[in-house]
Amino acid sequence: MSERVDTEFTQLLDTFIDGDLEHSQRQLLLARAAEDPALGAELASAIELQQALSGMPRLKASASLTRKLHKIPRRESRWFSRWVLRPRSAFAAILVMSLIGGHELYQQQQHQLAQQAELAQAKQDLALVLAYLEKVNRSANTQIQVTVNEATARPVARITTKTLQNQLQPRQEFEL
Amino acid sequence: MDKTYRQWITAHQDRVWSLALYLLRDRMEAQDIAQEAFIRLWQHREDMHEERVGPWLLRVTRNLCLDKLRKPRAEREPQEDDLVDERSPELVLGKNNEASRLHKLVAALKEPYRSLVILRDIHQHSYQEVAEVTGLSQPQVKTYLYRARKQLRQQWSEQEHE
Repeated sequence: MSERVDTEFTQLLDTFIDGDLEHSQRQLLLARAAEDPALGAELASAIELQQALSGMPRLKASASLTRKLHKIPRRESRWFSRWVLRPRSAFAAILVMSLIGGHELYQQQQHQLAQQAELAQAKQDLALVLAYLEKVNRSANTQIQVTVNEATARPVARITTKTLQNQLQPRQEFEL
Repeated sequence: MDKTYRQWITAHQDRVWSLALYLLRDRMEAQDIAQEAFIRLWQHREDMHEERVGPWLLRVTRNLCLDKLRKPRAEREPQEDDLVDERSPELVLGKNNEASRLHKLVAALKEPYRSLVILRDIHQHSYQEVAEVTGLSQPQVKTYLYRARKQLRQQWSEQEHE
């Protein structure tokens, strides 16, 4: 019996066991089993094993397990009510949530206060800077006015007149 | 809903229990798993379709059993009455030597072979149901089952010749 034939026969055997073998293939399988004692023994063993497997008991759930399974809905609901709906648990849950909420609120308020203080300080700094700038501006204006007034009030200096006269006199080296 | 859930218990408890016990071979553990599977069913009852309940329960049961089997035995909280368990499969099958021997052979198979043999050959589920429970495709189920049966036949006949 070659390996190929063996595999082919085993596959046929498997389909036969499942009851899905067509009539012609079934005849082929039985013919091969009749020809070859080894294949015949394998077929007999397979049928015996399959009958033994299908005859194994499907175990029944015990009465105690059935009772436990029927208690599941009540037990699950009780679990819910025990932890969520009972007054003491509810009070504890509200307390914990309030504490968490209060802490959050306190942190938020602290944060807002810090922001407000920073803003006030910035406003104060800005006012100082503006006052300083105004003062500097006023001082610069005064200085400009003084300078301009001085310049317009001063008479033309002698040296300026002399310089202008020199410029107007003809140069000697160009005279003929 | 309560009534429907009770009907589901009646319809599926034996299959869930049997699968858990065949996989775990331990009554207390199988009972815990069966309860856990039905607790999950209760929690998912609102979005459960009637026809999906069976395969869904078996899939959850199998997955819970495989998780349990992955843990070393010492971590699996042995119970005192494991030793006097009058309903473990070996003892239930004890009166029938052949069935007991066969169960040991099935239990010694690796996954997914073991689950496939239990679901298909012992519990007689259809290929489609087995595929749904194991999360395998139908061709995969057929291929693995072919290998599992071959291995089982070999061991079965070897034991017969001993």
